[in-house]
Parts: sequence; structure tokens; C-alpha cells
Amino acid sequence: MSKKRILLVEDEENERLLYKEELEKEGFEVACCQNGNEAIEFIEKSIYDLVILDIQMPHMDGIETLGKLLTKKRNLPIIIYTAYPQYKDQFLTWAADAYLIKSSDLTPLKDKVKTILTGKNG
Amino acid sequence: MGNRNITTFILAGGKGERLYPLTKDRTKPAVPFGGIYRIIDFPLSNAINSGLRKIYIFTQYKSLSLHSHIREGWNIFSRELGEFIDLIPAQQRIGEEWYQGTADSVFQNINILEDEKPELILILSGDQVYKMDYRRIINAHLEKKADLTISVFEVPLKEAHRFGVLRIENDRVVEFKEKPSEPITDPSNPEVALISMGIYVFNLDILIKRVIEDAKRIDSSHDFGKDIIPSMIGRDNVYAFRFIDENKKETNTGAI
Repeated sequence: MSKKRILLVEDEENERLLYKEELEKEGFEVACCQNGNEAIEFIEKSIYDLVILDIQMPHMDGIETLGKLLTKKRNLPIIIYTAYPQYKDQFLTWAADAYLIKSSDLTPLKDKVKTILTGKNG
Repeated sequence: MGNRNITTFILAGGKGERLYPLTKDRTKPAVPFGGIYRIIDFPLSNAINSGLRKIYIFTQYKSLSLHSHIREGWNIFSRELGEFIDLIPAQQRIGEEWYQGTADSVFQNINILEDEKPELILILSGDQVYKMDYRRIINAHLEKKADLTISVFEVPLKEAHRFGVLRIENDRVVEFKEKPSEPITDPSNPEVALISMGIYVFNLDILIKRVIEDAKRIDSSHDFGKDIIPSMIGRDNVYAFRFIDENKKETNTGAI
């Protein structure tokens, strides 16, 4: 079976590399981009099974990106991965399949990715 | 309904193809009626006479005439008092396409609900001619603790296939079919069917949840009648409110 493909949208390089490495260890293929504009170009050119989306990013923030991704690929699973809980007040974030707060422990992120992509947890 | 925070959405983006050629140059809500009036004046004056003064009108097709009419004829509110009639043309804020359906017009303007955070949302069509006191349906919605209340009225069975048809039990909606080939009859009278008028009272949370859920479906036409309402039957508290005729019978101008 081919690897499930994840698009990681994160402007901080260190975080991007860390998440990519950790998710690849779990057997996923991970493509990376740095902001919302790039994310839209990526999903127009290729097919992904899941998007992991930061919110505070330059050029186009994660919430605007979420809306645009949603109207282009309506059933594409999206995980919001942010340091800030307050964006839950913005109704568009309710369209994400999960809203996770960033932490040094990546287990919750990995578990959620596995649940969405393989139907299994842990 | 007291001092509850209620926002009114008037959906005025339809093409109105059944009224062609009256809609050749203007959207159906802007079609003249009785000399100086336009069809949209009916839901607008109903809203204002029901004490509802936070009104958004969503427009799309051939909306110039409608915009002029609202600007020139309805410039009566004071925004300083929190009262307004705002015209919202399709802005492609979220997606890059025009409104796909009635539910999509709400989804594309979800930021309005974020800013206003109303307790209830009254959704009206901009293309119907009738007189109604919306306070009655709002009060019924609150009394039933409903998630959604739909205004309904009876039509002869042979006409029902053109509408959204409901079956109710003690005012609770237990079945809803949009334009069915074999409409369900009203249990109290087999000669008639109960149809939806496209007038809805929603609680904020449930409206957001259902509209977002629908936006993620690829098999949806993003329409309240075709998609959202049928998806709510059996899992949300959906009630019917029988239209009380304040004047004469409601007429959907699509059928004139």
C-alpha cells in the first residue's frame, strides 16, 4: 500500500523540520510549505490525504487558508496545529477535523494523524 | 421574544428563472410589484414590523436594480443605534466561486455571525409576497427550545411536488423531502400537504455546525431545502410553525 501523503503548512523552519521528521518516522510521506499561498498551489498540483495547518503565518493566515482549501477540496481532512487556543472562536476553525495546541510532546499530533489516516490510534 | 439578539438574513441571490422575462434585467426580489414596490419590500417590511432591525441582504445575480432600490427606498435606520439594512454582494471572501446555494451564501458570510454573535438567526427569502409577524415563529421556537423552526403552510396535494414537503408529529418535523414526486399528506387532511416556506429560525451554534458540515460535503448542492434541513431531521430539534395568515395567503412569486 502506498504511503499516505501529508501537507504540512508551517512558517517556522525548525518546527517544520521536526514535525516532518517525526511524521516520516511514523511511515507517512510529508510535503512542506511555508504559508497559505503555497499551500493552495500545492493542493492544486498534487493530491494529499491530510493537511496540518499552522494559523499565525505571513501572507495568508491559517484561517483564510482553511476556507480556501475547503472550497477547493471539500472533504480534505485538516488538522489545525497552533500555539494559540483563542482561534477556536473563529467559526471557520470548526471546519477542521481537529484543533490541537502545539506542545513539545508530539504524541497527540501523531495520534490524531493516525486516527484520521488509518482509523487507528497509537 | 423580548430583547433577544436576533440577526435577519434575507437571501436575494436567486436567478428567478420561472419569472422570466420579468427577471431578464433584474433579480427576482427586485421585480416591481404594485407600482412603486419591489418584491423584497414584503419580507423587509415584515421584518421591520416584527421589531427586527439588524438585516443583511445577500445578493448575487443582476443585483444593480435591487441595490439601488434598497439604498434609495430603505435608508431609514441609524447604525449608531445598532440598526441597519446591509447589502452583501457575493464577495468570494472564502472561496473563489459565487454562491453555490442558499447554505453556501451563509457559509461564505460566516464572518458576519462571528462579529454579531446573535442568539438566533431568522432566514428569509427575498422573493416571496406575504404578510407575517415573525415574532410568532420566534416565540414558538423559543418555547419549544428548538434548534430550527420552519414556517409551513398547507397546499393542495397536487401542487406540493414543487416545494419542500414535511411530515410532522406534534409540531416536530419527522420527515422532509424537497420537491418529492409523491408528496406526503398532512395526517389531519389527506387532501393537502404541508410545505416549507423557506423561512427558518436557527440557533447560532446549530446553524454554524450544519452549514460547515455541509460545506465539507462533495455530494451537496449547499442548499437549505435540499441538503441542510434533510440532514437535520432525526438528530436535531426541528419544529414546524404553521404560518399565520396576517393578511392573505402567501404566494411564491415563482409560480405566478
